[in-house]
Amino acid sequence: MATETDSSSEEGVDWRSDASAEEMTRRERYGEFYRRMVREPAIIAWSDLRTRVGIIILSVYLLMAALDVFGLWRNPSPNQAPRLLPPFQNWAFPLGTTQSGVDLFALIVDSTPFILLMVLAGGVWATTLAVMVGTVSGYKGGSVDTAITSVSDFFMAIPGLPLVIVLAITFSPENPILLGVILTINYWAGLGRSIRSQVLSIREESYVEASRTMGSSTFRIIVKDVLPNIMPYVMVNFVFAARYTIFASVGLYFIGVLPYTGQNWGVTLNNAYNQGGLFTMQALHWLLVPIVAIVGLALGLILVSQGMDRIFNPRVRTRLSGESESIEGEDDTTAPPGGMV
Amino acid sequence: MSTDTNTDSTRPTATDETTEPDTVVDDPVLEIRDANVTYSDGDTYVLEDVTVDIDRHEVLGIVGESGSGKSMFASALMDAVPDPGLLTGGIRYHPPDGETVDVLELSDEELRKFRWEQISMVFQGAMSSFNPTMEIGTHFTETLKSHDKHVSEGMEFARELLENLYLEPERVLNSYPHELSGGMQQRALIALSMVLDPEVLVMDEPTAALDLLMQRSILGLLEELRDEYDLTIIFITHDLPLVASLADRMAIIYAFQFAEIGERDAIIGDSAHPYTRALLNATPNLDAPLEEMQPIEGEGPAPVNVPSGCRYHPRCPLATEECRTVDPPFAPIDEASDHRTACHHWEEAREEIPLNFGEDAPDAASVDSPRPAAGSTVEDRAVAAGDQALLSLDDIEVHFEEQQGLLDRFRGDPDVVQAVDGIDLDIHEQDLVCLLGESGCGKTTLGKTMIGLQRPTGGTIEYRGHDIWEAKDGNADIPYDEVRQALQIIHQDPGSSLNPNRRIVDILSEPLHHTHPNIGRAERRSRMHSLLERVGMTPAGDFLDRYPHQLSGGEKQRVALARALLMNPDAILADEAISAVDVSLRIEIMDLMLELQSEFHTSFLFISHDLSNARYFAEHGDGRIAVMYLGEIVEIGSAERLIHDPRHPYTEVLRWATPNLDLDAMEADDPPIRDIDVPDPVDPPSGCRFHTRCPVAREACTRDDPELLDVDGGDGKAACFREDPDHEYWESEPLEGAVEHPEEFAER
Amino acid sequence: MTRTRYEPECDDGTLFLVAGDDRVEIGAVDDVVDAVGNETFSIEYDEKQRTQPWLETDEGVLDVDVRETVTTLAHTPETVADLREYGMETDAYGLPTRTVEFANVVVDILSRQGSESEQ
Repeated sequence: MATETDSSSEEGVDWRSDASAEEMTRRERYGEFYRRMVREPAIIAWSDLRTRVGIIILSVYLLMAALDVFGLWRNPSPNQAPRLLPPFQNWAFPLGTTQSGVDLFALIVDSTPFILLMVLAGGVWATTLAVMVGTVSGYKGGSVDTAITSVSDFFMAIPGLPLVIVLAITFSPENPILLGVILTINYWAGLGRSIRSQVLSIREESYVEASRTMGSSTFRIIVKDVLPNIMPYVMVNFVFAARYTIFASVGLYFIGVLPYTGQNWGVTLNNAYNQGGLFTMQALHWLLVPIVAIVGLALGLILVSQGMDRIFNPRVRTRLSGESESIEGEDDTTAPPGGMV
Repeated sequence: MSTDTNTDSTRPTATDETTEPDTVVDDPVLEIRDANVTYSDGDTYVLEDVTVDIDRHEVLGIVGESGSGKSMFASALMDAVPDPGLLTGGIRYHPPDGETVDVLELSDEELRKFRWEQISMVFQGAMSSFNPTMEIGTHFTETLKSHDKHVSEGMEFARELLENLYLEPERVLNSYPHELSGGMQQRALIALSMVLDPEVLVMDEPTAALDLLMQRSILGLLEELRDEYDLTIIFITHDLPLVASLADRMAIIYAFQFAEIGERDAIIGDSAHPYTRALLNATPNLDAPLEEMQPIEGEGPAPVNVPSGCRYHPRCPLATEECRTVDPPFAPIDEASDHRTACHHWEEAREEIPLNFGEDAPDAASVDSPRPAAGSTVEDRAVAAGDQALLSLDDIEVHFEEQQGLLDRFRGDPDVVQAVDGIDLDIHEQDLVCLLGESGCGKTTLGKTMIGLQRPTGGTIEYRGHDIWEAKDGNADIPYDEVRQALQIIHQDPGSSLNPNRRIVDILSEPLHHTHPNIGRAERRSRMHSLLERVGMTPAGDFLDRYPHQLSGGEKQRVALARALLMNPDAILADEAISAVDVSLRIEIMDLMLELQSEFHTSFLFISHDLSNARYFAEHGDGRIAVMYLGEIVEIGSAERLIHDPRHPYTEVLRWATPNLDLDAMEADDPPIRDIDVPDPVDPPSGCRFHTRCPVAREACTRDDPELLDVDGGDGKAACFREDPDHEYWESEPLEGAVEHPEEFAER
Repeated sequence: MTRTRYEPECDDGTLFLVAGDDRVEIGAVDDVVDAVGNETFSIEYDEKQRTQPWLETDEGVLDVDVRETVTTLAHTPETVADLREYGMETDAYGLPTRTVEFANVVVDILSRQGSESEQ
């Protein structure tokens, strides 16, 4: 091997090279960023049938939210239509009407932005806090771990639902974001615990030790080395937290603990139930429509999450974005279907 | 069996009619004809046109680099090719009595019986194929029951086998798999594979996860088993010298085909294929003069990318136009010979590629000697010049106690259990020290302590005169960041040393982020670019945007090396950094490290269990080898002295365990130790810790722990009472099984 | 060499490891199962491993019943000595530390087997 270096200067070796050839313009960098962060994940997500269906379902909800935000559908009000019109009969009121003659579709659309915001807030709050707690306590260990663990133990020891009910009654949250946070107030503790145990094993990986050896800060190691490994898990749990938020809110609205000014899916469900939707065929759709809306959103979230681990898997990434994949040669023990020995 | 000669100039393909091999095998136990394994609807071959006979009761050693198809050959023999691979061709098995079996025609149930009863296998992953909730004994009874054998007779045989493998039958049978050491597990697996009394034993890298000493010990046991139970053994490995000590015949696999096959002595001493000769020359061993060892350039092809003509031509120095276009036949080199090779120019190969050991080689002693015998190591020069040590260890102790999580203890690295006990060692500028020892001896713990990754429980470690841990706690004159920048690491496993989620460009940015926080993106990229090219990864631009899984093991280690170098360190700990790299690449990577050592003014701490690798490093870098045993350094000195004049009996054992290519001294003999297994490091023996295994241990050794003292008439130090002619050792009684002189032990 | 092991004993839902007179409390079996994370622990063997005659599994997956394993698997005195170092007072996430450490030991024993790739 030719030693083409000049006698090394004090400041390491001068690794000269044709720098201009390697220079990238700002535009190329944005292009690169777009490719890495937007296009590749999109291709991968779309390539998975479940994720694709999930995305379509979620898009429907976003569309409904848009209908409401831009005022493209009428607001719900009593007697705007004949009473208890069955669905798919009159296309002016596609999902039918309630006993008081309110357009059910308008009811659903009207509360979609509220629900979506609440779900997002719940999911983001629960997972972000859990990730922070779990990674720091798992990675740092020692007294930091003990301290964090004690706090989460405290939260886990409090029974969740009563706490939420008490908080809901105390704060009477009408802001969807605050509501989302209250509903998942102690959801993070359990998730933080399982993230912590995953981080414990990642901490032992050689590349984490290498980063530590280079003197990288704890924050940097957690963000660059630890987080990408648990992202699939975090994403799945984000969806679980979001789903929990929907169900909890619907449940609490249903039992009437949460304050409401207008109607929303849970309230509609409650009204329908009180008006005997469970027993009369005429009112059945009144009960079914909010249920379908709730279940559909949960289903969409789950489907999307199922493809999430693929987005974070570098192997899937390189394969689907059409990069050449040189096959590893060092592994003699297993023969992957790719055909290596 | 007819022995028509096959005179075709091209190698027969799968579509040709079945061809007979030209080997002269009188009583084949297995006949393999045109065996092919394909993937992707026949487009990708991972085993191609293999035609070979396996003689009854022979040991056939099959050598190939990783990814060469050798494991696939093992799977094919048992018709156990992983899905969706397709095995075609013919595999016929001739039992000692009874009818010939066409293996590929067997039904699933027949195949289940055939495996393990006729042909059994010990493979690399076998050590994790136990049922963790069953005792080893239950594994035996389950095996016997599933093959409808008489259990109590079978268990009788199992006990006999275990005893022959130097295990205590009752203890092993009553243990759960996790309670046995790796070496014991592997021997238990060998016993399990033999309990149905098979004719053929296929061993696919069975010892690769074990220490050299254990590997060699197991090989010695295999030899005995073969003789006692009339076995045929097919031993597949990447380690040519290892199997050479055991094999009757050897075959070399390159790029999914057999490149050469013949008698062991013919393959080692008179090989015909350029690849075999290059492989022999690239193998670090103790006989070859260092200057003659040379790597093979390039890497073996991937199955999707097999070169036309002779598959070896891109790496072959003798390649001609013919080699590029015509696939050479796998033909006998002369009429009567059973030495076959697939090369157009094997005659030239024998002339043009001299072997660097044995008779062809210049006298090893004369080549070794130009180096001044004493005062040649970096340490000697540094001490003479009165330089301050770069790293200075004073009575370092590392004990793992309650705080150590149990999960950590059990995971992989057994060094964690082991304490390091009272180590004094100075590392100088541009020094090179190899820590040599079996797993569990504490070498990794010591190495990590040296670079400040492991906090010692006793003693001090200083970097340029400043206590590292005082610096970490902010009580020293230098910032801890400076220490962190100065001491870097390269890990053993290339698979986990790079974050799988980050591209190479991001991985290499990390050190630059520390050393050059203010440089622009373009400069950062250009620095990475040129260093990658320097470590042999060209074109660097292509590699920068890849993820680690797109690199080979050797390439990953190069990236890890580049990452460490970008920190401008004063010392790099290389923890078994080449053991996961292919044999043909090891010398290249070691050379690269040595070259970069002088370019970057770095010291290297090199951890290994292989004396020949340590020797290569230590001699080229004028460094020292420190032999460790159960947490202590038992001998330290130049490679030269340790190999030619070892003073500690343990060093001698390691020397014995190091495979060589000297045909006269090759036969596997018993190891010069009284016990194959390392004592439990949790509870080390009293006195000299080696006394339980030492061939020359005496009463006195059980009482006092010998100190590490300067050796007479040589460089370095040793910790053995035999160094002191007046020691009470000489008056005390030899321990049971011990002898007067180490040499007598083998003849015992 | 006789190897005494600590045998598991279940007393009213609480697991003890017992050798002779020595009884070490581990915790409620339910807590151990909780700490392991699941009632069953699946070990997946690769294609070569699953040919081993003692492995009769469906699709190469061995489902270990965690409850059964923790109540039948004996442990070495060293393991028990280590466990003894951990307290039984509630500490880690509402479970006694010793219970959690014991679960870690069990998971570690189980996860050493099976193919490398699944982790």
